Amino acid sequence: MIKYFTDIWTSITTILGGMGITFIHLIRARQDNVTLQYPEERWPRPERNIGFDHDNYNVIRTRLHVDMDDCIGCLKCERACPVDCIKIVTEKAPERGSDIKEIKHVGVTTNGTRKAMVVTRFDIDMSECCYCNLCTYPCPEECIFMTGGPNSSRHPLDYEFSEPDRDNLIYKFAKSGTKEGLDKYIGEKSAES
Amino acid sequence: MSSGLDNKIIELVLSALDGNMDSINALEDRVVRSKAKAALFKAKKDPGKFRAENTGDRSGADEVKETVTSDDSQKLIANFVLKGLDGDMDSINAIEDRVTRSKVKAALVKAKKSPDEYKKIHSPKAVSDVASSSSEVKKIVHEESINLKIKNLSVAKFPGSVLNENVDDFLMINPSIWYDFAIWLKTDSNLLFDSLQCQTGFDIDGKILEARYNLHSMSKKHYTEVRIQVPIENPKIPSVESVWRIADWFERETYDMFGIEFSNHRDLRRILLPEDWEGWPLRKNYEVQETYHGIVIPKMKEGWE
Amino acid sequence: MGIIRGEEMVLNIGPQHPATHGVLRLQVRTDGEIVSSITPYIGYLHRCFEKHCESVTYEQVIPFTDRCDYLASMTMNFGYVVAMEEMLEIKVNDRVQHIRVVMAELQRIASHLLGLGAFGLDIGAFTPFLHMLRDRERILDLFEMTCGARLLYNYMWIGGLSHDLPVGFVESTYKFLDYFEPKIDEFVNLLVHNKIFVERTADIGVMPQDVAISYGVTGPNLRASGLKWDLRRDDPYSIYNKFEFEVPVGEGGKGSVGDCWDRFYVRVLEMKESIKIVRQALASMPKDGDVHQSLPKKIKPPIGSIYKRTESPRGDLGYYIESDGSNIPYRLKMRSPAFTALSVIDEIAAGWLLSDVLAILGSLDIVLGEIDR
Repeated sequence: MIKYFTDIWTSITTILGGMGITFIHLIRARQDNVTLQYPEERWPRPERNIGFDHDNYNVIRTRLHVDMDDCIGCLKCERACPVDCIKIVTEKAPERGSDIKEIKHVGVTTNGTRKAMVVTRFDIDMSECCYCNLCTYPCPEECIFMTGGPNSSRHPLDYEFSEPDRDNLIYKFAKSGTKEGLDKYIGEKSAES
Repeated sequence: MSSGLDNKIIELVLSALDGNMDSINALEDRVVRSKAKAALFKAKKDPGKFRAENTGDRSGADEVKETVTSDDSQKLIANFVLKGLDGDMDSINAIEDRVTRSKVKAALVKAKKSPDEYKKIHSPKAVSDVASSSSEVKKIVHEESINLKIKNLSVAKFPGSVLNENVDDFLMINPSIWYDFAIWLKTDSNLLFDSLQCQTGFDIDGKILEARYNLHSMSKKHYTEVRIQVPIENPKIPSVESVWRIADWFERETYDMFGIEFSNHRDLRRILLPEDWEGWPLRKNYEVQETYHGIVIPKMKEGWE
Repeated sequence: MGIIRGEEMVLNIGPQHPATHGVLRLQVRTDGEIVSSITPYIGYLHRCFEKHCESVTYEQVIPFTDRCDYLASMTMNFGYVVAMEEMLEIKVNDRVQHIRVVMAELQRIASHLLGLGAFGLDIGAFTPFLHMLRDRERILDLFEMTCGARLLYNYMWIGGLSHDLPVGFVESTYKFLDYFEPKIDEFVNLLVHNKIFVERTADIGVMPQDVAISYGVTGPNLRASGLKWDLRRDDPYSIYNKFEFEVPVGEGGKGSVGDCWDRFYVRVLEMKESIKIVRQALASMPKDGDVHQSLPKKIKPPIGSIYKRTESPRGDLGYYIESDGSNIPYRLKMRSPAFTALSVIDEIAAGWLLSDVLAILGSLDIVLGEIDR
């Protein structure tokens, strides 16, 4: 009998306690709101203070980008990728370290390395990429990186790269016409000599 | 080492050691040229040895030379580490060959953890009976290991069940008495293995399938590993699912991936793959089927060669 | 008057269902409202993890281990890295060990928050779910500061870490812990002692201790049945033996020992213990030390095999790795704790009402990505 009444009392107190917490949240709605109103408020500059400054970030995981002028064609990033989403085809440059203006090939990288290879195909399939960041570490010239964040000076943040057709997500970084231009150039040079 | 190179590459490297680089640079094929240059780099470290190995008889002398040199180098490394333990680092830093120097330094770091044991094992007069002294040291430090205990206790009840001599890492059990052995492992008061932690299958070279069981004891905190081998033509192992209930699902998964049949299992069918899939995927010679219910299984994405 | 014919009804709690924590199919045979047997069908999320690991190198396996249990990726990485370092006999320095413990414990808090919130959602309590997610967002912000990713980190590497802690991490973590501790008490007031919740979960789905051990159930599910088994205490790895924390055990607070309420409450208490561990680790972390110091140049383990287990938020996670001397694993098996937790559902849920089955399934806290791999 007494248990009947204590049960009723426990029910009322615990339910009212829980509802009290919810009610307090209703009144303090603006303070506790953690939702970002997307098209108006965009990361990395939301209107509320998320507590961390964006400059303190170590690394960021977004779309990959390659500076073709720096790439020496060493294939280290292709080997490091766990899902095989990078495809590179290289050809030997006729002279090591010299520019070839016809195909816009720069002979020396920004770090001073003389290139021995011409990259004729550099495709990254962003729909297969798992954003693990393993390809950026082995690159000796630091030419493959993820856009934005600490790399904002080289390429601004780009996270809105969705496409309606999946084949458009295969990014081709090698300059177009490199293979034909290179063959033509070698043909012309050997015809001269 | 040198036995894997082509004769052509050996000729080119020999001529390059004499100073003639043009023959290597004139090679058209990029792969062969890079191999020749790599071999040349290695040969330059010890040109005399390269010449001796590659101008004389190549087939028989190689193996003999390899064993002799590895023994010698072990003794050499042990000498340097003993010197380093005594405080003499100059002789180590003076080693020319970078590979040996790094090996000596790595061995020195390991030896510094327990210098007395190392000295005992590797000092010159004890080299001949290294094997017996190190195993004696091991016996003094550890008590009788659990695997040895199981082997000794099982001799009375299940003679001939433990098939391997060296029980340091695992116990190889005869498949025919596995079920009774499992019940004994679980219920014996010295052992009390009441928890089967992990059960997997293995494919060894395409001829033998193996099932491995990792057993732990919650009360006595010891663990062991049991392996059972069966031929690939007729893989049948008695099921232990009435002993440890989790073996029900583990054995279904091993059956699904390897094709090992567990007899007396109440419901052996595929668990992760669909019921009508063909083939045993985790075997090394597995080929994916071409279609499944009319859907073609693609090998590579179109346009991505 | 005719005879009412009674038969068993076969009901499918199908692969697409909001309460099954993933793609899981439960075939339930019921007699009226009472369930007589349950058969789980899994394999809808099978992604050939073990076969794929036989064709990538040891470092490249780490992003794949992330994706098995996607709600607790740090602990998945941790288990694999600890096993590989024991096989290769690499010792990492103190700073790396402390950072790893901090990350693993923060991940444990985050995983328990989601598990408890989803359990409340299955029972019908919609509000605590969003409260839990709000606090989990703070933890994910901390992780984002360190390694750039919010869910799948690829942070712990063999021999070290991918990045050191950024400037301001330690202060931010202290701020988060001070903010979070009163929230656990708020959660306890909101849901744990609520009479409706207690009626729904107490005395339901009792799992006796010997059934749990025989079915290989570990982690909070086993601790709720009364056995004090925690791998951080009983088989310590990394530097867990330096920290002081208690192991909460289910005591039948609102019903019998080992029921759903116990499994729920043990997770709440574990969050408090994790906060203690994080505070101790941050206080004793050495200031200098290079996280890339012990990264090996080439990973070629000696021929042999190893089985190593660590404590993930769901139970004992084990990795069985066999190598044949090359830089690609010969065989890698992941013993997932949720696999064993799901296998016990037939034993403990038969005989209850249909709505209790979902409560029991939610209290086991399974993740299908780990079961199917």
